[in-house]
Amino acid sequence: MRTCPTRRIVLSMLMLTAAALPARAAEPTVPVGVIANLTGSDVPSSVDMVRGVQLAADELNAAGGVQGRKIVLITEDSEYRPQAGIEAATKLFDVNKVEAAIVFGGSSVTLPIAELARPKGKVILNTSASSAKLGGYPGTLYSTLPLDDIVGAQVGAYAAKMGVKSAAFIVPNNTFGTGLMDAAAAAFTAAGGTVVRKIAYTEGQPDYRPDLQPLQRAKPDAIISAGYGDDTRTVFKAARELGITAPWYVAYPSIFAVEDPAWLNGHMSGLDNGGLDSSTGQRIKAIYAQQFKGEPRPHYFYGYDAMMLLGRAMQKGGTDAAAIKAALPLVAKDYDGATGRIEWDDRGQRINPPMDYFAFRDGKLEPIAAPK
Amino acid sequence: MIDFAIFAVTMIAIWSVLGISLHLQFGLTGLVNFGQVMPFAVGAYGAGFAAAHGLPIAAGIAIGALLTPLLGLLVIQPAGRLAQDYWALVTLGAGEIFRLTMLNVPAIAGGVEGTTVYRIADRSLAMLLALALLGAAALLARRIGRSPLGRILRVLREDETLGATLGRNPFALHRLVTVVSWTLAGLAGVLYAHVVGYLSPGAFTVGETFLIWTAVVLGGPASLPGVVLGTAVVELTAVSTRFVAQWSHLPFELTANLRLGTFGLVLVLVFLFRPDGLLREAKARSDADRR
Amino acid sequence: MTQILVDSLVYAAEIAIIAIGIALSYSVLRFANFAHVQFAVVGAYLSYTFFALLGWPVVASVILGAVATGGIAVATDRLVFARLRGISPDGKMIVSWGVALFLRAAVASVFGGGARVFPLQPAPLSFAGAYFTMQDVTVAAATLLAIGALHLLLYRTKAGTALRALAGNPDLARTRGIPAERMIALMWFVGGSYAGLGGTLFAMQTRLQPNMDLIMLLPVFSAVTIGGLDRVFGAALGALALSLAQNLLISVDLGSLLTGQPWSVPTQFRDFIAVGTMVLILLLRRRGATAQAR
Repeated sequence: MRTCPTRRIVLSMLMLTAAALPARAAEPTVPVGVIANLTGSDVPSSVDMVRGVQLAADELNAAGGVQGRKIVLITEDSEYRPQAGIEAATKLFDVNKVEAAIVFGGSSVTLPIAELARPKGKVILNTSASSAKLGGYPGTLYSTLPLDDIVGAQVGAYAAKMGVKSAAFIVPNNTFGTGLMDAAAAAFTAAGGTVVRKIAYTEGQPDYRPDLQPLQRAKPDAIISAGYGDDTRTVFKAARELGITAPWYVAYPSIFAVEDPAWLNGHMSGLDNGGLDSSTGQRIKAIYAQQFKGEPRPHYFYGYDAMMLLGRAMQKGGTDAAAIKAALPLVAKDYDGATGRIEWDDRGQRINPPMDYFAFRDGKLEPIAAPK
Repeated sequence: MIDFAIFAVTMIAIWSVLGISLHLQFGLTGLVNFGQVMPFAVGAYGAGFAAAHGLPIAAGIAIGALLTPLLGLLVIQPAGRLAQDYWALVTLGAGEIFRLTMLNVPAIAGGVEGTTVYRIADRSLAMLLALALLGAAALLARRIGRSPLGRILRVLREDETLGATLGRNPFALHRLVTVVSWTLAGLAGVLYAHVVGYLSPGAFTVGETFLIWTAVVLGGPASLPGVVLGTAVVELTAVSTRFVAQWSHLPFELTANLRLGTFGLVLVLVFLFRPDGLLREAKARSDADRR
Repeated sequence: MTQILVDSLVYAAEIAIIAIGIALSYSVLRFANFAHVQFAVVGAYLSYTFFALLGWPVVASVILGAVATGGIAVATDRLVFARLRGISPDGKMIVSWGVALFLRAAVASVFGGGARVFPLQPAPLSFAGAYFTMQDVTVAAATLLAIGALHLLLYRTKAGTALRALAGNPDLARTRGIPAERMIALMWFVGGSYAGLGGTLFAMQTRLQPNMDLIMLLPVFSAVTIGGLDRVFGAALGALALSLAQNLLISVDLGSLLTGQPWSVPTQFRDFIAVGTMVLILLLRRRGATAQAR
């Protein structure tokens, strides 16, 4: 009797697996993998990325799909854990036989997936991770957003151009935050500025006053920052409570969450990946507003571009990974994306991305002219 | 499909070694290690340190295999005489301290960025290595379990004072078990690093510890085959729920959460309805061992 | 300096209420309840539902959220822990982790994984060079009130005496005719509602997220450990000690003292300090702990 429940569990599991396996082969389809953190951290941005991918796939399918075959998305959860991300990618590559996967996740999830995809010859489209390390996978990993080293350098240079002499940094203690900080600090110092304090805070804390106090004591002209919405709100709140009045120069102001619009009015400016005002960007933004209400997060646009580029590459070259790799740089050349023109270097990383400058005024981000 | 099976078997084998390590500590000896991910992380970071500093792979293996038992002794030396739940919190804390150190000291192996490690390209080889490690660990554990030492450990588990009156120093035995079991987990960590090819602190959280515990508790902590079975069930549940999710056509965010909820539910239900796990401890054969 | 004190006090208040419940349940049931921290998250989501989604007044929402969480805690005990009274403490610890995992998934399924924010805009205040908000004051006051109320319950009522007797010597208490199961239910209710209250206050200060228990887990357990695991008010003091230690360590300019170069412990080491203190205290207490275990 002892083995009975065991056997039952194993059997039922096998049956479930078997039931799920046969790809419903009514009509020929092209499977495309999507990996996102559907649980864990940063879920809303992930969900928006998937929505962008879905919209692009729908549009491609409506226009005839890939050589008459419909694109089918298979979405897997990475739980924001490397182990689960690898599991998801292995399933997509080996069981669903996808040739390419679109990935949302921090570098800690995206890097091991890229490590896995490279020897298999598969293609990864990265829509969110921005560690400079991702540049080490030419021919495997293509990014629709520029990596930290590029954006960081621009933020540092921007602050210097705005006449800032001394700056303090506050960023989340993750790959994104510290990578951006280091690149920005280097560019800022190179332009003659002095970095008085660098702070990397632990994400998700209830209060950042203790983190901001050392910054306040350093009396910087300005604060250079980056971060995800949830934490930036708490950071701003702490800064307001402490009476910090220095202006903020930030990377990606669109993912900042402003806690008290009146307090921050005119005090924050920064640069974001541009091109969202392109005709495609505006069009899909309107679709989002209609379907889900509200404003899409930037990853909606990166996801859309990733799927569009992948779809076009498959249309042009074919659906196997080698053909996709050959076609991707070609289709990118004349693709006018939701995030503007996409220019890849030979690593498949975005260079010269269109950058938009914004200032926070009257409760919203207003476009401003790029500094001279 | 075959590649996916190879991957699943490799992972089950590696996590089973962790399970066996916990079986030795908890199932056999009664040590509640809530930082079981720590020896695993130390082993993996041995490989990571070697890779980040341009040392050969063998150096990584050596660092992982030697550092793990040393750190194990460091934890058990002062904490060894604590009551079980205190010991649980100490190990939980020690595991977090190690992870936070790796996170905040980039000089060791890349900090938050993590580090790339040599990845075994031949997946069948990776699987064979994992199975070999599992085999060795299982043989060792079986050997310990059936030896006079194993009997004493079981006595200690049930009644430390009785063990002490038999003229055994419980603490020395706990130390021995820690060294052996942590080394096993450390080796599993080294192998894991080379199977995955990339390490970051996010892979070694409290959550991973509890995944191992779920597996061990489910299978039956005191039964060696039970531990392996438990790990296989947990790993296959993690994998098969992905297929169920895909096939059910429920919203993807919901299925992802239901998947995680299943683990919690399984853990609770096993305790409620099958407290010894799926497989019970094999009945000891010698008279001396009858409890 | 005043600012550091204020920060420490507020943070201590946030984790103290949650920590108290863990100490309370440890003192009666003798196991470290990981599900407790998840009750805090559940409570925060309930208060959020009443306040932000149904538009009820804030105080009523918070109280109702806490009471409902107490009910959930009692139900959890009936469904799970009451059937497992006989098993070892470590077994209960593992089960409590399973309960936490399940609750977290349930919360995330209902509310989604994204962060939510209490729509509050507290007014900023300043006193003696320290800056804080009306909300900070409320949090501190609520915590003090809660601690006071618990003190009254435990030391001025019959039920409280019974509960303390149960914690002190369960066998003796039972033979004296104390209805143990009813007292345990009371304990779960009080612990659960305190967790719910603490979680709500924590979430008001920052945000709501299904996995915020993982952020609170270590500081809370550290506070309880410093206070002495089964000492209910010790947990509150532990929270204060931990909070002070964290904030002082990251703000003191150690570098200038030692080498002349300004340097202090980077702020991301706050967690490190929490866990480190917990381990250290446990190790230092080992004699007492061993004596107790034997």
